[in-house]
Amino acid sequence: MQHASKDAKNWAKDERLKLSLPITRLNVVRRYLLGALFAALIPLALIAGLYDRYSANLLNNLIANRVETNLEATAARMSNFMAVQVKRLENIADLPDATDFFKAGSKNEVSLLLSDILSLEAENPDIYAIELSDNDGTILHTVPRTRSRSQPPSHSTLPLVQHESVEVLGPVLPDKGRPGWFLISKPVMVDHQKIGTVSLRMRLASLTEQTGALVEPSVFEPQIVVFDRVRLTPVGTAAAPKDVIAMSRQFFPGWRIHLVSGRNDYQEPKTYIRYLLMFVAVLTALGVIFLFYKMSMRLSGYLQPLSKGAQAVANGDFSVRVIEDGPGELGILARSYNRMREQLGKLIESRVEVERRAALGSMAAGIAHEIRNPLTTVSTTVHGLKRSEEDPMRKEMFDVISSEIARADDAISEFLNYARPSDPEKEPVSVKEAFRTIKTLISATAHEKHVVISISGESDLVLLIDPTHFRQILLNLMLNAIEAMPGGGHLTIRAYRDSGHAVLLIADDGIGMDDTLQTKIMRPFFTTRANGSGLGLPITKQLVDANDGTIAIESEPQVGTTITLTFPFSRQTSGERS
Amino acid sequence: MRCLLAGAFALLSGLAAPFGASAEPPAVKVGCLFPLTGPGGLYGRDSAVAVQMALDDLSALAVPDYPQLDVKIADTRSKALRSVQIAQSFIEEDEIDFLCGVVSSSIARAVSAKALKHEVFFIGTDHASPSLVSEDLHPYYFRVSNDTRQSMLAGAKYIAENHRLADRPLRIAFVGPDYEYGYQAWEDLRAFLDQQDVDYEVSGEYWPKLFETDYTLYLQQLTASSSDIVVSGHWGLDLVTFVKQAGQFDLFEEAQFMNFDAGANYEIFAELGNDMPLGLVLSARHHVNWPPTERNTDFVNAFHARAGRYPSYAAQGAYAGVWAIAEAVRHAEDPSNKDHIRAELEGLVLPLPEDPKGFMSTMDPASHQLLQVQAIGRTMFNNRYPPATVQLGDWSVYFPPDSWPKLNQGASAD
Repeated sequence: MQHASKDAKNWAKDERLKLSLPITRLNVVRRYLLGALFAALIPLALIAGLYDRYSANLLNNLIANRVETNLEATAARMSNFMAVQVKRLENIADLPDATDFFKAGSKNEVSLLLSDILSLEAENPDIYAIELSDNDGTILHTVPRTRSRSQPPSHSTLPLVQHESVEVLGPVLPDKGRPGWFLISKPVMVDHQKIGTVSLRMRLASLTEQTGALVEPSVFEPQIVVFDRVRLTPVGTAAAPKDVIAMSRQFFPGWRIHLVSGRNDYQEPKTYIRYLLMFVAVLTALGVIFLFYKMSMRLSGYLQPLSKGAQAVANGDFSVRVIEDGPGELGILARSYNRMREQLGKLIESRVEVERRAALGSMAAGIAHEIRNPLTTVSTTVHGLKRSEEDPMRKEMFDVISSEIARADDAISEFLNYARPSDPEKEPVSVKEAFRTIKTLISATAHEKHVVISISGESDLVLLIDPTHFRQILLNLMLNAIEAMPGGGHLTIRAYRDSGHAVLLIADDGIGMDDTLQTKIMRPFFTTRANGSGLGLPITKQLVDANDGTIAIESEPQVGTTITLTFPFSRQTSGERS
Repeated sequence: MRCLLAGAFALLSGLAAPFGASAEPPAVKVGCLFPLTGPGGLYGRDSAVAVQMALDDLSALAVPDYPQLDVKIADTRSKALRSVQIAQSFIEEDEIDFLCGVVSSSIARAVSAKALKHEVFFIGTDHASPSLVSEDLHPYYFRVSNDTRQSMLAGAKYIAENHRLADRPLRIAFVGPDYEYGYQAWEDLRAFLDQQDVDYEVSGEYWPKLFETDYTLYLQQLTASSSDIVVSGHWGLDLVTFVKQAGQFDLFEEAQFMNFDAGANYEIFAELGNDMPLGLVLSARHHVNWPPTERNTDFVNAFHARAGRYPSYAAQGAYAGVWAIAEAVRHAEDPSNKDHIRAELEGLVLPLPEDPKGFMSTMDPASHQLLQVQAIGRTMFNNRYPPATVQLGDWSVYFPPDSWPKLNQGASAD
């Protein structure tokens, strides 16, 4: 039996634990908020990651999507530039006057027509000079004359490309304050015999400038590369080797364009922005986490009391009230909960009272039948025995028996009154008359107990109440008050109107009651007196309730007790007053 | 006021007319080649105005022994072959006694060759390549305005005086037009910097085309070159375009920009207006506000009254050219004898508006190059010569050496 009791206690403890865990750890609010938090953070992390990946590969994307097209277009443009020059050279080499010039041998004379044509061609800013050379490479004539070269550069050290009918020598890099150039040469043929060479000394920058559209100095820049030996900038100067990002096809044999890394001016700001964005993303995530945490705490702050209240109701405690200042639906829920709790408490209390009264009724019927009837028989028999008894001592003993039987009968009557109260028969009752009658009844007792009774209030106050019940209510409360003043004191009775009700105050300055006692005094059979039945106040409350009144007790130990009764007015009286 | 100017020539050449000059001598025929349209057209138009000013001044003189000059001006359009053909036509059809003018040095070299071939004097007024008075020099060529060698000599002295660095070599980049004029300017500047013992290193050499319109690639290279000084050899609209575009690359904030030969030409200031940056170090062969002499002021105002605009330095060259021919013919013992004319030209001393007080332009007989003062200044606000809002100030004045400076350079023009 003892073991079973221990198990029951443990079970109850476990249940409390189960109920309390969701509140303190992962309650529903926190779970939902956590879910929402992940729903917010995962896309944020994904977007931040994708953006970071995109920005990290920005250069590659740019090149892949845009620049490679431009690279090929530029290569085509440069290829066309070379083709135009070759065509120009062919036009000169095919001139009969050019052939005549070389045929003349040592008497080489440039005809006026050829001279004018060469001068005209040499006015092209892309051409520095036009050279006419013999088969040994000796320059016989240069147009314009002022741009003659003293010595031809060594063929062995310069890149040389033979392409179709022309030969490209160079490039010759800028040196000693002179710009760079390259030579396009075409042999002049007679009967399949080479009799001389016509050459265009080209401005190197005119070719390299074609790559200008590819220049993005902060990101990348083009280089013209010849046989991987010579590297040129877009302005025709020597370039240093750099990381190659992309390269074009050969726009002329051995010549191609490389895209190389630029000054990378954007790298630092790009990295800065990248880290800044990552920092902002992390900060946003932390902000979202903090926000969700605060929301979780706040919602839990409103929901936990509701949960605890619900647990208390489940455990039969209807006294736990929750705070109703929550926002929106939470406030409504709290207010609804409190109303539900109160109504449920009243319902259960009422139900218990009904059942208790039914039990008391059954018991009262049993007592009346099983005890009162035998007591009546005993009382009648004792009365008969007493009449026939001569012995005074025995007569006195019979009187004692009769007295005790009468006392037991009174107790039973009192119990029956409580268990089966009579229905009130309400009629207008003058409070003044009622007070006066009661005072008369208890004045002897009061005097004996050194209690001073004072009555005050509105003299014309009339209640609609059962006069018998009202008299018993006042009698019970006033006798209790006198009992509460064992050393004497003051009993004050006052009546007045308040908010449509008649209010009666019965106040004493007796020993008073603490809170614990106050919660118990309305219970049946609870008494602090040795000869008390414990039914006085319960019956009083029952009578008050039966007459649509209320009873409230305020008491303080060693100060006194004040009992406040409220009853409805008599309509007749109220109408008369109004 | 121009009478005063002409009077100065009269005083110099002597008031007395030669005795026995009874017959009217034939007019001296002069064929001038200027670009009147196209690139450099303004130079030609200014030259034409100045030629007429000089002729009017000559006519206004009360001195009877100045020759009659018959000047023809042809538009070369800055084309070499066209220029040579015009020169040929002047020589063979018009039988001119003097060729004059020519703005572009490369064209001048071709015309000079033609002059030599036909033994006709060629008075260069505006082109500035030293090649014409060195490797191309011949007995019939004379130049009456400073060339780039003289302006670069002054420029090197300016850098030596104002921009030496104590702790490291000066980084100098050069950008100039891709032809002889630019090459010579850069070569001469380096030679003179060496002469001045300037510790420097070349941070870049760039040769955009003559008459280029987009300098983006070159400006990118220049701004990346970390130069202390960027020396420009551009002239005319090339310089205007370059300065406008350079402003977008912050070149003038990153380096000291200098142009010693043509940068301070009035035309540049007028074209750029408020776009002309302040603090640039520039010079030119003539300035509207320097020297602050009465003669120069008169010349500038007279030109403005005649043309409605202020003169570029080309006007001064053309004005000097006409006067040089007149003086040479006037003083030649036998004007029909080319040796006599040459002798007079070789001994020429001309008081020109661009000469500061106490100085006269003097011909170097060995190089046939007129020796003139070169004044370098910094651009500053000055709206006295609208539409330009900037002129030079804070002057540094460099007088020429006794003879045209020769340099031991074996380079030949490409």
